[in-house]
Amino acid sequence: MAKIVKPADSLWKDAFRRLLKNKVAVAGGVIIIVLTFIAVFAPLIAPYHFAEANFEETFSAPGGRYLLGTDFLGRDMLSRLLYGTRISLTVGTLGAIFAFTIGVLYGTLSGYVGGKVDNVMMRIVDVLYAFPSLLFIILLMVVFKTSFSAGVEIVRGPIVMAIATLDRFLGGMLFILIGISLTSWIGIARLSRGMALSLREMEFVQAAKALGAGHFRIIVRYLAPNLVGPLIVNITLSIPGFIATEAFLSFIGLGVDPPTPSWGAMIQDGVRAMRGHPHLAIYPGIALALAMLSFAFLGDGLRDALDPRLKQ
Amino acid sequence: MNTKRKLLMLSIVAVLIIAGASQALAAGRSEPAAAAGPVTMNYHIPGDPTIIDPSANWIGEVGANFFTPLIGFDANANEIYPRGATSWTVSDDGTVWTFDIRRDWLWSDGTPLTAADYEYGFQAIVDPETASPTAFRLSVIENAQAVTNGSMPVDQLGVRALDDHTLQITLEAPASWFLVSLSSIGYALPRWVREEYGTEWTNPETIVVNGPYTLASRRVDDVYVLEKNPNYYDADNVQIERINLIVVPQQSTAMAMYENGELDTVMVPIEDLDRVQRDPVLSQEFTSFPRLISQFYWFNVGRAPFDDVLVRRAFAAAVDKDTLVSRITRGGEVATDTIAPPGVVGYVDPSLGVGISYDPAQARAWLAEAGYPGGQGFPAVTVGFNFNEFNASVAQALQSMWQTNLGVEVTLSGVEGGAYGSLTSGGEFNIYRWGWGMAYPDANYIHEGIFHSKVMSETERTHRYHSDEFDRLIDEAATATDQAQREALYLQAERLLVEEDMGIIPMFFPADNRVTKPYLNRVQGPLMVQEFWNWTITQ
Amino acid sequence: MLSFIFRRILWLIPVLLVISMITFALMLSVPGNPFEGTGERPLPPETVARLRAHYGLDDSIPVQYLRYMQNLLRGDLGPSYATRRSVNDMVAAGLPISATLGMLGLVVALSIGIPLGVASALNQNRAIDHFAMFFAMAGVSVPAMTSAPLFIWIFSINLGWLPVARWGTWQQAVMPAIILGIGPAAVLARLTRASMLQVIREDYIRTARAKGVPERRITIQHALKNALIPVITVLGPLFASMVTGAVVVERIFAIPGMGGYFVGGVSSRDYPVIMGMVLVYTFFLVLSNLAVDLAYAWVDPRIRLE
Repeated sequence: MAKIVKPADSLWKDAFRRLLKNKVAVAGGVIIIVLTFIAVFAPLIAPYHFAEANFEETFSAPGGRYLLGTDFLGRDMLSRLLYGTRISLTVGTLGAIFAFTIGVLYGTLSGYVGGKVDNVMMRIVDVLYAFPSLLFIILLMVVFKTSFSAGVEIVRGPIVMAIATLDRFLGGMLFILIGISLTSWIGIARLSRGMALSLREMEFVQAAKALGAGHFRIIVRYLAPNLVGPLIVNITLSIPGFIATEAFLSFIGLGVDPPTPSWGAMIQDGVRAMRGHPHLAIYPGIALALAMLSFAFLGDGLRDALDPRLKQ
Repeated sequence: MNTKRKLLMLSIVAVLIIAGASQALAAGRSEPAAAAGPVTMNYHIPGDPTIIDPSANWIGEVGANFFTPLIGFDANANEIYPRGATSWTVSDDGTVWTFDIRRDWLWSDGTPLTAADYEYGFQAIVDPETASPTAFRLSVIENAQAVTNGSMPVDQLGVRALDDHTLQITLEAPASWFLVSLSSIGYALPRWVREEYGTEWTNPETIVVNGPYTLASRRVDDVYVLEKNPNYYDADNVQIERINLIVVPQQSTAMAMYENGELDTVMVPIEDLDRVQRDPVLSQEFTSFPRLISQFYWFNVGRAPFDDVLVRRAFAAAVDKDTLVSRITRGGEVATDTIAPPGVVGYVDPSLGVGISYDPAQARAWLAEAGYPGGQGFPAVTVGFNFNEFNASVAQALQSMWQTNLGVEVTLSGVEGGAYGSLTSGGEFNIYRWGWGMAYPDANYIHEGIFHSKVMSETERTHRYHSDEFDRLIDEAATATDQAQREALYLQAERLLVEEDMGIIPMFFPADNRVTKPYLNRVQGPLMVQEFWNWTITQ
Repeated sequence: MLSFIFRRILWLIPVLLVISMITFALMLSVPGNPFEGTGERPLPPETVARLRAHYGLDDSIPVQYLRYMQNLLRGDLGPSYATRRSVNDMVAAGLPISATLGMLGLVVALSIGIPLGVASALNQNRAIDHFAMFFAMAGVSVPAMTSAPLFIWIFSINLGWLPVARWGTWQQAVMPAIILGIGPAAVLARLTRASMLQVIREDYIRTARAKGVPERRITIQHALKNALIPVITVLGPLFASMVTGAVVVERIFAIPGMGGYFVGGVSSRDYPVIMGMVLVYTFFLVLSNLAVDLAYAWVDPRIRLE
């Protein structure tokens, strides 16, 4: 039978109260806030600039003047980690937000409306979805990087130059973000469409329909809350995925421009020297895992808190 | 049908898929013969030897083992010795070379080998149809350039088989380095096979060779199996009977395979050098040889700020190359202020003081003299490099040195893959990385090959350093016959290139760092080529 | 059902058409040309001109595209400019290996992920749950580029149990399959957990429980089957991402699959290789998505295939 769903604002208030009771989720949230703080204030916190090299102390072990040691150029690992938070968090969260906003709206609408609209919308998605996303992103990145970034004097129009300049200013992050957003929403659209399709058939939606609820109301009140659970899990899981995509792109030379640090790129550098200088891979690895676990636990907490069925 | 049964069916399908997968794994994948078989070496190559035909491509690391050039070159003794040719003479004016081709010698399919096979091998390189990247190396031979650009038929090339065992090569001008260059170009080729099978002729099924080894089988991107060619003229002295060239793209994986006994010799990744040299066993198996490769950075002299020689000098003097090789690259590289690698004719000894060494105070003075005291008002410049971890490390170190020592703003642009060539040729960057490996040990190869204005395109001439004086010195050195005179000419040329006009910044000569199992007796080959026929395995 | 399958297979034609156009346009808009190699010294301009003419690269893009599609209709993917091998051969040699690896990875992912997710859901907020989810997060957090060298170091060099690399024996397949499957296993575990938690609160489960159906039977027959529905939807993309994502695993373990061809093709501007890889992967993806859709409809009778 149909659930009795309370008005939305009280739903979120309730959810927030329940979330606060979940200690692990709160811890995750706190860590994310701290990381955000670090990302914003990195220049104030970091003892050195991320590109400051000390050739006398390359590969130095943690401790002493450099708390977490130095890398192959004698750059302070701690400072690079702190600055790296910027790239990794931004790519992860903004990428997820862009991709999910596009994907969920598209997918839910398509799945709910159904019929011809669904057919057309899904055919478009099907075509793009069949495009192997990793290959797509590599192609896009090569187009972006070589056509926009490489040009120094070649006149390519003010907008193009502005984008290229902004990207260079952001250490090459902008294009990664665009590439990730453009390739990741498709899978999310399909996923939410699949769920909307399945939910549409559920009794409580049918009942609401029978009671004369409008489409918009049904999507927002009945479908969306039920989609949130599985989707939050997906968002929190895709953030690590996006961070990893950035690392992969750095691996093949399409990531952030050196010397801009990102955790992914730092792990790439570190792994190669892992057996001789383990600290180079371990610290960024810990930072990455910590951030991802935090997102995951927060996501789990949110999922539990938002689950409309938990409210009795 | 209830859901339970459906799930069961799905699992059955899954099991069938796994079964199929393991079938696919097992099928047709028997490993080459085990221990009791022939004397076998497992050798690491980072990628497929894509084009084995020596006329169509550079002779790669392993390519020299299939075919026999006219002469051999012993890098250690710096000596030329007979291979395809048993003896040779040169005319008094130095332009006509006559080679006696080895007798009683068969191709691997049993066909007798003649001078015509060498004639064909030379023609194939300059043939426009082959589109060989190495054609320029033969440009000193009579009519070679006309043949390559299609204005003359191939048979007009100045390489002729006078009879079955006499080959005559006519040059446009005398060239003292010509003979030694023949150790890595001009291999005899089997015309009957090459013409019948086209580009497929070097496949294991069709290949016919006259070198120490033949290609017995291959699985692309996995393993190339070389087997001793019993018809090779010196087959009695070839000890290793089978060589598995194992394709492993990741260097660290190859290193692990070596440590696990799956490879017999391997290059040591830079990151592992410390560990290898500390390890009691690996350090005993470690060797480091300088390689005949020169790494350097071009200046874009066509535009400000590097159209000013003072700025170029300032940038050169701000690079601490010793620190670069001892602290950053750490792979046994040799820092250099000049361009020709040690061991080649035309190498400039550091004691002669040519080039600009590290001197930050002088660098700042030059920059100030150019109008940028303390780097003030200096425009942002972009440094380009073709992306890999090694180049990225070096570029970041240089960036740091320039920013620290000169107070200027330097941006890096790492370019992946295929666009780098056209971006650098197009003059996109202010400074950009290059490297050049020597195909024969004479400075002519590097000076005439890249710094002479005749090899530059119209666009390149607008932004790469070149000068008439430099060209003249190189032309003169190319045809001079007196060695001392040639050395002197190269010294003058280098002084122009890396000091007075400061067209490029020489950086270092890289090293070949390797570990080799104690039972494998590896002979360091000349240049970059591995000569497996000289190696032995003791059990 | 049959007509659904037929229509989906027919659907491949427009999909391949559109994707081939996108790829063609994208790759030809990238600066650089295939005959420079990755070295610094470009071929002489005359040689490049001759090669371009030989491969018809001077024609307009639509003409080139039509010619490519014409050859494609005959089943000819063209020659690789860099290696001169036919792309057909490259696919024939590489695809079975990549697909096998992907399949093994999927098996690893399913056999770890689903039990872990179920166990976690049934023990919500207890130690098992936290441990399982921590493991799952670790699985996603550690990229193959990190875990692969670590595995090699532990299992090959130190323990000597498995060969370091290459492909051919089952021992050589163990590490790549696990490393490829472990990330997706984590995704599956978390998804299964979330979906299972949702399902076990459904009315019908409570009804079943009230009717005295044994707990084991409730879990497997009633809960799991519904909980797996969202899981099945992600299998298609998951498998796809595993086959393409094998790039790193194939590279590190020196497996001669198709993984490296695309990256290599893009970086050397080897147009036929880029096109060939995109089209083959696309074809493959569409089929595996079709299979997933069929399985999806089959398990959940409420889904109608229209």
